[in-house]
Amino acid sequence: MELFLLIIIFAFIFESMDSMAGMGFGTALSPLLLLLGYTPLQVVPSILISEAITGVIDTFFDHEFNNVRYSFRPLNDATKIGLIIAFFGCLAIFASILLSYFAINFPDIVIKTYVSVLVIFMGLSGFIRIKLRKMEFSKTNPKFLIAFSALAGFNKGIGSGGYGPVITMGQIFSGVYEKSATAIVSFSESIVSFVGILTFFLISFGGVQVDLVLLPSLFTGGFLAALSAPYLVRVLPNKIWKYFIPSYAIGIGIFSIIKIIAF
Amino acid sequence: MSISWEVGKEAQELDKKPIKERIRVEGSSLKRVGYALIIYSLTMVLFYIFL
Repeated sequence: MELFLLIIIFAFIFESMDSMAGMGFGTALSPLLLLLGYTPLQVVPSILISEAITGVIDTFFDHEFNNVRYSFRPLNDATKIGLIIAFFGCLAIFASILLSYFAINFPDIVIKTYVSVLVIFMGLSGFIRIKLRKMEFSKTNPKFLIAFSALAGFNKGIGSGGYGPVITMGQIFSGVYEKSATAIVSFSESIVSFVGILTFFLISFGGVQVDLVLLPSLFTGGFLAALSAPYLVRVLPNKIWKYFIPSYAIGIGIFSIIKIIAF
Repeated sequence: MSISWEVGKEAQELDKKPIKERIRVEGSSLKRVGYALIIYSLTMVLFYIFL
């Protein structure tokens, strides 16, 4: 087992951002690791396993630090939202397996451009929403959440990123408090990652060699972030997250567009 | 599902308090951080054995 300091630092930074903004771990870290010369079979399963475990820790400490409170008996709204989002995420994973099984491929550039533009648009809408709320024109609607969950699931299912940004911004548009919205994303992403891991186990039974050389480093960085980020979310006022989340979504969208143009 | 959310009520209440109170965490939370570090160490031992 080897630990790589650079990978630990990257994992810490991007897991912290993911935990605080509800997005970016997979979208930002995967291309970076691929650029460093690692193969998809080294990157994807390690990220999934790391995200599943750190997601559980993150969820626990978000609950502990009162960023959101979960309850299964009786099932409260936060838990329901997390499970709805996770349900669409899991459906998306099965959809992507089916699509690859039937060798249905959508044009890569079109899908990536669509997701990037959508993420930038959602970030910009987040700012517009802040302005509208100040003028008290904006209304919240819980039903939006199901539509946004389905949209995020669709994006993931057709094989592109944008799950985190759509689901985080979707929750905020549906009236969920910013701090709690990012916490709920961690909860649902950890469930979705567990399903993703199962998928990789199935693939490895089919003879595909999965290499987990990055896992200890990704887990170490992710673990430290899963402890510190919920605390930071608790301490900093919500006003900061209100601006930070849409800004980061726009940043992720622009980064994705640069990636399409450059590669 | 209810029409208006009950999500984030505790976080909103906490936000109304001064930063000094938000920084302070209970002893039980620190204990849980300690448990999490033990889980981390055990997981790393498992990685060392199996990877």
